[in-house]
Amino acid sequence: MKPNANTDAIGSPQIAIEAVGLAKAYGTCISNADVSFKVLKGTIHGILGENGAGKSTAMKILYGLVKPDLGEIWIDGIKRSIHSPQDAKAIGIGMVHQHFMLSEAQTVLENIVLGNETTYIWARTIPEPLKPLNLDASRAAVLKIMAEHNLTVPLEAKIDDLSVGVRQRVEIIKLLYADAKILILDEPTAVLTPQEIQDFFKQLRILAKAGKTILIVTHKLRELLDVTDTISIFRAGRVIETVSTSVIDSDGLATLMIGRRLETIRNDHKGPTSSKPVLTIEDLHLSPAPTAQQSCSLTLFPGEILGIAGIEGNGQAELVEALRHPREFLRGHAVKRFEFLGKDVRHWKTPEMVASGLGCIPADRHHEGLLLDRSAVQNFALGHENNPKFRSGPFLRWKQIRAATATGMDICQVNPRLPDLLLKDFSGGNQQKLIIAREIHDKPRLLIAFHPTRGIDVGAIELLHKKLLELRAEGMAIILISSELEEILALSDRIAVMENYRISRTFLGGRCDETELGLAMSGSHSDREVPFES
Amino acid sequence: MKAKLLAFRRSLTALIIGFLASAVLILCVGESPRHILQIFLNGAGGSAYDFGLTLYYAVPLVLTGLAVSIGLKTRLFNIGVEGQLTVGALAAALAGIVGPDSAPWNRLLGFGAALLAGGLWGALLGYLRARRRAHEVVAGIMLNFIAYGLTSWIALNFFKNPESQNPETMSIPTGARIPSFTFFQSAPVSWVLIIAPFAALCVWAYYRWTRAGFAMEAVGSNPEAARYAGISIATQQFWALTLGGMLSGLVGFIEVYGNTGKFVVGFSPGYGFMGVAVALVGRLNPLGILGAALLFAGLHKGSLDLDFETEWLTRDFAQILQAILILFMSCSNLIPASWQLRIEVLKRRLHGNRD
Ligand SMILES: Nc1ncnc2c1ncn2[C@@H]1O[C@H](COP(=O)(O)OP(=O)(O)OP(=O)(O)O)[C@@H](O)[C@H]1O
Ligand SMILES: [Mg+2]
Repeated sequence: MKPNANTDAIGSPQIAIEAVGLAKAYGTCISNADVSFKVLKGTIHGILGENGAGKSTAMKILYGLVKPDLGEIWIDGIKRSIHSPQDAKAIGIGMVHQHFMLSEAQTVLENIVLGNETTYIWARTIPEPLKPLNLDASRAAVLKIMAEHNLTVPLEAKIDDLSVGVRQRVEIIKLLYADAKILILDEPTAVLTPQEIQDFFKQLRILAKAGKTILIVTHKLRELLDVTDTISIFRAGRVIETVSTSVIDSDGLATLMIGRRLETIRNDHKGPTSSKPVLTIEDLHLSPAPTAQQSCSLTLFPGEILGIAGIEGNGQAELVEALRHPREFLRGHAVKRFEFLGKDVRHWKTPEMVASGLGCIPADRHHEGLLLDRSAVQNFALGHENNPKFRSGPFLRWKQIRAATATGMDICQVNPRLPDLLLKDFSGGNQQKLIIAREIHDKPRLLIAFHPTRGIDVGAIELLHKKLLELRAEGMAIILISSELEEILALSDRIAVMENYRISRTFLGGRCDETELGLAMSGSHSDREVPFES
Repeated sequence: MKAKLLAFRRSLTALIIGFLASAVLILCVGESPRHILQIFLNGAGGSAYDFGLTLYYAVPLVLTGLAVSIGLKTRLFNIGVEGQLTVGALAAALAGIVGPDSAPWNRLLGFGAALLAGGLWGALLGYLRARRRAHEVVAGIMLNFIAYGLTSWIALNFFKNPESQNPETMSIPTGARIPSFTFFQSAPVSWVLIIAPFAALCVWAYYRWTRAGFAMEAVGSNPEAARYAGISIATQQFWALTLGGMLSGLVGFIEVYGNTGKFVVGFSPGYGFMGVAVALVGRLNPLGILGAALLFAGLHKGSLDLDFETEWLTRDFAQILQAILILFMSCSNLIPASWQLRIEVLKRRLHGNRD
């Protein structure tokens, strides 16, 4: 019999990746101080750490995107210097980035085969750049991978037209297609639905069994415990500990990571602070071609958190779009009543909505939330240029904006606290925290939080949840849209389940559990329902 | 701040490499680069008169460079500058001819007319682009043709100078023309010169301090995020082209009031197109554009002497030089990447880090 794929001839486990003392500094900002860890072949290795702890930087070093100032990398027992992603690919390392790196104008299939194109047999002698593409052969291979891994994507669609969830799947298929032996996944699950995550993990396990080594960065403790074999914990640019998953629980992980246990945060369900609704929507057609039942109605009172649960793509994005750009959206969609703070706002544009008190944390921060090549201060002004505090006549008051940015960065603990740093130089989680800071700094009357905790660490989630409850107590109305059922259950006063462009079920907060909600989302009934306008 | 410095450093490296490449080219045709450099320096700034002429060439380039750069900020290629400045010039000349005799009022009227006419021509392009979804390059080129034909027709049919053989209008009152600096001797450099740095300053302040300028930059940086934030992309594009038209129109004012005193058909030697190069080399930064315009003007002025002073090179060489510079500017992002690696290696060796 052949020796196990994950052990060498003698039978002792092989070390697939060994990082020794990796260090990287950007100016005075030390991103990695001393990163050392070992990963055995055929295992799944988790990476955990606070926002800005240097996880992405370390992964980019392994993939050749960032050159370390110091340190060594050993792959399969051989010391390697990886200067570029090409080098990394050549030795079988593949990576899915925290933020997608797909070519938006091209189709899914083209994106997947990019860099690993198949050509025709008869074209072997043609010089490389001129070889005709054999997309049919590639398609067959990709279809096979899709079938094997139970991942479906529309191969002919343009990336531009896809939701974030599908884009992530494309990235993963791309890796599988490139036949990488070491897979580096930087927060791959951030945009997946719970069900997708389960499938995805099943897949990762199969891949690991087949001898692939997987490095996975995630902020979700449950996932780490669920799927990994070993976990390295990062703090301030160092690996402070590598533990075996079998001997630790989520409290232990949190303690290692942030130095204390996590509090459990619960809504006290005090009820609205006023009976005058903030938002009244009646019969809004969210679907582009609605049928009779596909209309959505909801009322929201001050001091109330409405959680919207539901599988991605069932109208959540459209609901946000309607609230954000009423005039544009309602041009193509019928509605009976659409009132914000008691006023008919069907003809309002975004600036008017924002001026009357609408805050919005967008789902896709890079596309909708940020100017990556601008500083934090400039990003803080984005969407708030008309705020009377920030302007005088046609001019912007940068001093005030800078002061507000500094305060916001303090409140949401954005690190490093440098208002002039370009946004792309912040870590992913810190970019998200900056958006949150921007959207709540002016105490809007209605806050839409669309996947607000995407990419932020457990400590920061705790902070944000506390903050949201605090704002609620002060009378803010909040619509929380999230694929994290736990989050919805912990915070919501009421929970609406969105399915097929309508609100299919509603629950009172604190009166249902995860299984019940999960069932409702997939379309099954339960008897603890309450009528919505209770 | 740091990013700007980096951009500046990159431009500088690109320029230096561009000049080195040109030097090689000069060697190939059998001239001495040092000699050529001397001719250029002498020609562009050897005397007050020469330098005056360089400034004279630079002023329109600053304005057209700014006009193009504003368009590029919102990701539009404003190729209509040429037409806008032609319309601006005619408007300035007509205003000067029919306007009051009092010099200040006449000048003010000419200035306003140039601004307005250029702005309107730009707004037309903006409207076609933003509201009617026309491609700005195609529409811009067409509007250039129309502007050229229309202005020639008006100028030659209604306001032709009867005493002249040239295709030009009557002159504006002599008193209204803006006097030249005496410092530059007989070079036609008048006080209109200050419009260039002033315009650059205005544009800089517009981006830096105003809400509208911020919105425009946001559109350029990330259109989707700008839209989400409630900034209308179409509106910003419309205004970018309109503002570009106003700046271009000023070129016409400068030409009429500061130089010829009348509208001459075909007066522009392609300021609008050179503006594209100026905007790119200046990296869309108003201060960079000032520098780039001076550089291009100097190259142009310096090359005029090549005909007499060298055996093989003619003034066309300046165009080759410009082309080489633009080429290197546009790919300068590549250059430091390979250098960085070397610098990195050097640093490591110096620090005794065995790799
Ligand atoms: N190009 C850069 N210039 C300056 N600082 C940088 C740059 N890239 C990263 N950093 C800094 O390095 C630190 C580590 O960033 P990194 O992206 O590795 O964090 P992370 O652990 O992945 O965090 P997150 O969980 O938020 O994704 C951050 O403080 C970040 O601001
Ligand atoms: Mg990261």
